[in-house]
Amino acid sequence: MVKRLITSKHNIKPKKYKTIKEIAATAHLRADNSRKIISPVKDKEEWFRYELAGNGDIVFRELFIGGNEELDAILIYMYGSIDKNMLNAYVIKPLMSFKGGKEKSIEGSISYKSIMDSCLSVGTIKAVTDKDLAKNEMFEGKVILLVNSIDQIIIMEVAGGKARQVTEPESEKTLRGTKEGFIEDIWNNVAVIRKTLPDPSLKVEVSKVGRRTKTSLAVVYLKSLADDKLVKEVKSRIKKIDIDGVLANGYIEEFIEDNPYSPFPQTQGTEKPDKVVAALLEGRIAIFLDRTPYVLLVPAQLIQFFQAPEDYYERPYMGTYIRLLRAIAFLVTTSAAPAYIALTSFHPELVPLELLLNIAELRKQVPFPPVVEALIMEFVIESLREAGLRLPTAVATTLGVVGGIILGDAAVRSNLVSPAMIIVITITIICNFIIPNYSMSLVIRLVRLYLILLAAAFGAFGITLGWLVMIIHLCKLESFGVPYFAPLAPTRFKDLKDLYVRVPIWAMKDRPDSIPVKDKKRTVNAREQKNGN
Amino acid sequence: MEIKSGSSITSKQLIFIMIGTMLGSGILSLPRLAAKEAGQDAWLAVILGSMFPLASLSLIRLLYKKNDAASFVEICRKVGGRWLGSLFSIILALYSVLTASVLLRVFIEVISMFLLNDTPMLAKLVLMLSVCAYLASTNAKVIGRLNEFLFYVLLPIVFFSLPAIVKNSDIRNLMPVLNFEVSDYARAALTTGFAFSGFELYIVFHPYVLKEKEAYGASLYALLITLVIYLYFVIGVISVFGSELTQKFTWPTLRVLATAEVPILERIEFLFIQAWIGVSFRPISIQYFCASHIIAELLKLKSQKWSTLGLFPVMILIAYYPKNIFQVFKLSDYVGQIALSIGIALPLILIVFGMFTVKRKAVNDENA
Repeated sequence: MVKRLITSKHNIKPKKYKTIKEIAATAHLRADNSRKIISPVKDKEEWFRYELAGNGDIVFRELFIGGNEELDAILIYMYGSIDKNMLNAYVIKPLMSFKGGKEKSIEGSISYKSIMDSCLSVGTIKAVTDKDLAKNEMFEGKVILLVNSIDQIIIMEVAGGKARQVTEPESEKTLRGTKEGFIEDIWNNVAVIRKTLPDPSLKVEVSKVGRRTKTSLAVVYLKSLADDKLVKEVKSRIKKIDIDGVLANGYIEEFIEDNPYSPFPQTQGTEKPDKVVAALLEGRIAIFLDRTPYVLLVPAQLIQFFQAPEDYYERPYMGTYIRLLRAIAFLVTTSAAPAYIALTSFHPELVPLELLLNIAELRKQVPFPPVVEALIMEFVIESLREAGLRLPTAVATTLGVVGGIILGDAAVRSNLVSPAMIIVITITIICNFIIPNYSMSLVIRLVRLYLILLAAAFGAFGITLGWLVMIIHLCKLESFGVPYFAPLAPTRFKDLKDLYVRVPIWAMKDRPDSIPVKDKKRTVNAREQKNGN
Repeated sequence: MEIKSGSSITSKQLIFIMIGTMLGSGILSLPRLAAKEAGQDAWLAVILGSMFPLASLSLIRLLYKKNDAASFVEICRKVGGRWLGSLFSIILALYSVLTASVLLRVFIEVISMFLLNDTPMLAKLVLMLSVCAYLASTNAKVIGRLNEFLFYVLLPIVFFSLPAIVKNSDIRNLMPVLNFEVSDYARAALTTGFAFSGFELYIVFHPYVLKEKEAYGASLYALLITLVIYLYFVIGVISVFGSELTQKFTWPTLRVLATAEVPILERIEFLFIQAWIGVSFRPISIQYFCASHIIAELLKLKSQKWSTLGLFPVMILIAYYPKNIFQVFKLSDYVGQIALSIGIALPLILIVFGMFTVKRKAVNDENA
């Protein structure tokens, strides 16, 4: 055995290490349990033990390759992030029973190459000499293997740990679309996209963000479709991100958006693969981030936040009807409460007499002006909503009953709030829930508050000015060079068929005009051809 | 030049910008003014009045055809040299500031009458001008988009008045046609020409159009659309009230709307006023934009925001100056006349100067 080791000149650099004879001696001494003389593996092990000191979750597993005491090796890994069964079956077991593979018969020795090639049955594996690099990889969940007398450090991926089950996204439920949602693992998410869109031109460009978190980030796009300039711009903006930690997509979003001070979301986030694929097919770009079950789509436009996949999965009439409903709901949720305030406190002459008398009757004993009523109601309902978000479901239901029914009733009975105001605010809140995108529904709450205050100060004039400022702002916004408010402004008539109305899929022959793509054609109208024949 | 970056607009957007500048308080007051001068033939006066902007647009086109320049300030400098050129630009900027302020005041007068009586004048002025300043601090692209969007959104409000007009109109109110002297029509055209004021800003926007060849045609379209909308209101109002009564009302268009009875809403003109805010804040903003744009370029400011901010108190002061609505009207008459003269004279002077400087240059080249 000693002889076999001696003949292995293969990987030993004489300068750096002791002579072969000495190694043999070391092995001999080590067998005698003498720890004073440090072998190459010990050398490296010491370094790792020193560097990794104070980490209880890191395991140092010593073993002898092929039962050979001179070939002692050490596996280093983090306990929670590997798959134990796989490690036992495909790493430790083959290592222990390894006889040296083919090379044994030729040279009678062992090399890192032969360990990698004929012993370890692990898919992702590589060898490095840089100890720091190996350490960092270990912290990312890899297993590293140090072998006596071998210079290289073998790094393999035996990833395990618990991943969350794929579930239906809570905030984006659909009836006819896929029920699959993204999970925290970026590779699973990318694989889902690949499965749905097995186009060879689908590119997944991976990089790391966050100096400390080193989170994987993937820019996904269709090379044959997405505009090159756009892709370049997205990548360069991501490259510029320099921050210690990235915990969620929101971090990325704030770094790459065009107008950081705008309240409007300028990237579209989704948990649903079908939405991502639809966006990719429009020539847009998806940004995946590890540890986030949420994918960013850029460039984003205002109207996208008001569209849901179901618009396309149901019949066109239904899609159109729901879109119109949403448009009206948007107007109601932003402007109903301000309009009520403006009408009652500034322009009562505009309300038909009977309705006015009704309102006056209801408001007779309420001591506050309408705006205070509205603010009280807004405060209560927003608090209820915020509380319900964090509480366990069972408690949240109780909260709803106590807060909504009992409190509302008591508020009316004690004349703190008029029933008319309760109706207005409740409708407002319901309409807010119709907005399919969560980020957008958050912004709308702010818009409503802003319009309520303007209405309280300047009546209908204030509301109109508030709307004008909002429209100017929307005209100003751009997302990666794409006008945010398109196809409304600049008006693109071609895209209007997918705005308020949703024409049949076969009639949407081209991709959206406002997003630059290499290939505009989406479908050749098969129906027209058939009719022609 | 950072100010100009992102300023390019499409010729379609130019149409909407030009409509935005021309269509304004004229909607409310033009029937009165036109009826005062030309009676039942007011519509004819309006058509004749549109000849002034037409002439101005053609002159401006000629100016840019003869001289190649990337902006108004540049063309002034090219033609008039450094100092004289700057003076020309400043004249337009001052005019724009004055016009915007007067338009602002007229606007607030309408608002005071129909929406907010009790709020202090100064508060209303500041509030309104803040909104305009927000738009004025952006670039031509944003202004183009906004005008495009608002045009489509607000076009339906023109037809709010349709039921009222159809119900009460009497064609005899427009008869007999051609009952005045030629000189009367000429005088009337001068008055109605003012309603189109804003056309002179074509001189600022022309160089920003992506396809410069289409710019002139676009401006003509804008003039035509504005003319049609004005004609609709003038004919509509006079056919309902007759020329005599039309002159008696300050805002005759709103009176016509008041005659309509619509279920649920007690007063349809209220909705009309709301939409009209969206129409008439645009000329103010665009004039304001042009003034701050020119000044920013003259002073080589980094951002147009500074010049917008600097003009803000000046405009508030001018708008706050008139004591009552009569002074406002007097002032707005002056401004209308200045608009006509600036719209015609400024491009004309620049063209003439241009001919001289080009000649001088040619001579210099020969000498050299």
